[in-house]
Amino acid sequence: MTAGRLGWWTATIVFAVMLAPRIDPLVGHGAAAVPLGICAGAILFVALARQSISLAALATAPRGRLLARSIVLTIRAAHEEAVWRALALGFLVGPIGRVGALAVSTCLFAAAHVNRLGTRAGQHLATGAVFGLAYLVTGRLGVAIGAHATYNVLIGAGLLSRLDMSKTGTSAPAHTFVRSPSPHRRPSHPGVASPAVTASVASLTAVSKSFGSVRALDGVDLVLRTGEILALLGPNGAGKSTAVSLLIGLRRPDSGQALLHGRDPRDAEARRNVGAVLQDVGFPLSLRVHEAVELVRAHFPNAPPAGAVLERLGLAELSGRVALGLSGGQQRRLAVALALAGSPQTLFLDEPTAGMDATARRALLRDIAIFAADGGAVLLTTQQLAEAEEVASRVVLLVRGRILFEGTVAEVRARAGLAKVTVRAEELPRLPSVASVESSLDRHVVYVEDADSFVAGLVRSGVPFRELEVTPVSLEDAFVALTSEVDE
Amino acid sequence: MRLALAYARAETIQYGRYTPYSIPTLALPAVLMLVFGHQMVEDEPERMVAGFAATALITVALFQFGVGIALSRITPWEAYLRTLPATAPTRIAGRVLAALVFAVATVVVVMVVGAAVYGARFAPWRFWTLILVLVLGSVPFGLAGIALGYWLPPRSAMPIANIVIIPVIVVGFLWTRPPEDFPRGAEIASQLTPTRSWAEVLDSVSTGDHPLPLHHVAALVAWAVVFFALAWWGYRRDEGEHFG
Repeated sequence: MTAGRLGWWTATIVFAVMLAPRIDPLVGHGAAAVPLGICAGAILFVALARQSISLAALATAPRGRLLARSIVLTIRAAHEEAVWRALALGFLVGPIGRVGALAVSTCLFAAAHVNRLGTRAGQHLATGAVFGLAYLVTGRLGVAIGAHATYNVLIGAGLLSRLDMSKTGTSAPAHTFVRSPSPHRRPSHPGVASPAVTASVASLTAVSKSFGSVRALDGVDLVLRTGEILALLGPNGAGKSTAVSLLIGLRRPDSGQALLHGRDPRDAEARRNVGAVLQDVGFPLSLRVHEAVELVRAHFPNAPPAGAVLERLGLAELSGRVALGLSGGQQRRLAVALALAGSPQTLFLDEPTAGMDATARRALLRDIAIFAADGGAVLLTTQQLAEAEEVASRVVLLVRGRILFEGTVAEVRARAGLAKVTVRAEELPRLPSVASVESSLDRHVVYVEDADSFVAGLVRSGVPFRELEVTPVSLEDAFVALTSEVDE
Repeated sequence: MRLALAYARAETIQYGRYTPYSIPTLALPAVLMLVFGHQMVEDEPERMVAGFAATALITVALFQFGVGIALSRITPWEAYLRTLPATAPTRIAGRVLAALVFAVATVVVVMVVGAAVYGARFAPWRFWTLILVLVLGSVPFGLAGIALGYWLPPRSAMPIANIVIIPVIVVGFLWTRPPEDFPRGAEIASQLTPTRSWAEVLDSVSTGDHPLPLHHVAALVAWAVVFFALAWWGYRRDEGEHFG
């Protein structure tokens, strides 16, 4: 809280009191209405903020700090009333009448707040309308200031009583109006041991998302931590892209919470150090490669030179071409270049290697590994176990909107890197490396980790068998085998 | 602001290079004026030129914003842009600036044609005031276009924009003066439209016959606030393609 800001607020109050036109009160006893205004502020707080103030916590909060915060919030309320009520509303009453002036000044008030304090337009409209009405009816600015200050101080106290003061003291005053959308609340992950909280870069907590009747995600918990490459592995339609779109704020969850760098991913601020490659890559008509890069770089004050990024992905000689005219693989490389253009800390890559040739693919996977080694976090979706195996430090298996399995690559390999053996035999002996067996009469479908040793074992056992067939298992089949195993 | 300029630049390049959009946009209002103008010119070509210039701006607002946004919303490129750290107001400011480029170009075309064909003459200070009023007055319409762009289903944006534009111009009397025997109820309805407010302000500025109607100025400001709120809300709630 700088002294400059306080000075500016005080100046606007003095200015408004001197210049603002007087409003004829609709009722007398204006001064007596100040307590009424205070009541109105308290009622507004209860009705809108629905925020509990923990009295016990408040009692332990330092008195001096509480008092200082209250004074600042009161001055701030007076400043806002001076601007929006005394000046805006006061000067509008003449040309467009009381109702019009109230409506316009309230809308302006809400518009000015909405941007700064989150999404609660309705809340700002309601508070603005009540404060404006109080001023119009009594003709006394003090009434409006009383209501506004009460509201502010209560919310400030509510925040103070809930937050860890030592850590968040500096950021708290910015949130005087909103019920804080809890950027400070830590996601709780039952069953997932979260080491240092700071290590969590992005997370989904109990998130569900449906499109019409299709449930794309169903109660998913996911954490991405710094320095790791997390592969989100799953067949088509598993919900991988939906999970990514929720984590970078393209969509919002139906239920549960998505966090990115400690904030709602739909706030631009949360995406400040994030790069993304979406599954569908496309460019607008007639924008050239270097123009696209320049547009993206403009978002990031510390972006490296455009040439360096294009060079790194072998696109330097294409920079004058129209992006839409590039080949599919080149467009994908350009998408990766754009994701890296702002030198992000966190990368979301939704099937980044689809359509790339082998050289480009290998180069990209190497770049991803270097990026993570430098402390960046990467979430990568893929349908190919081999790709996850190459770079990922941790794998999450997503099938039909649920997380089936979470672990290291080796653990997934052991479970999903299977071969399928079909064989007819009266009875199957106990054999090594079997993941799961489905038997109907004499026909057995066996998922095995090592087909060679299984067959060798079968032959050695001396059991008569026929129609032996060994097929490599698609990831999807492996998941199915895995599901039945998990269900047991 | 730097970011808004970057968006404006990219968008201007896109629309400018796309001649199937840029050339009709530049030419249409002037063509409309050539076709319909001579019936309305009466003895006030200045008033008429102002009206058609305003039409040009509304066309840009509804088509570049309304239809353009609605169509681009479902593209992969727009989805990608939404992963970048740009706030809704920045994006909207960028679009407004880009539209301003086209708006100014179309207005210049209309004014040149108006001066050449109909002999519209403005005193210098009146000319610059008119330009200022045209630019400021187009803000609520630009915001309305953005709001439409984020609220309309992408595939029906074009027909709806076509349906909206003509009545809004006719009811607001941008091209003509309201007739003497205009029914009172219809007159009130007309007074409440943003186009009428703009027409009244332009009327005052272009001819100098009346003082500036302050209540219409206030109405335009109020419309701007309403449409900004709708546009901002629309951007925030948008999730690209809506399934199901």
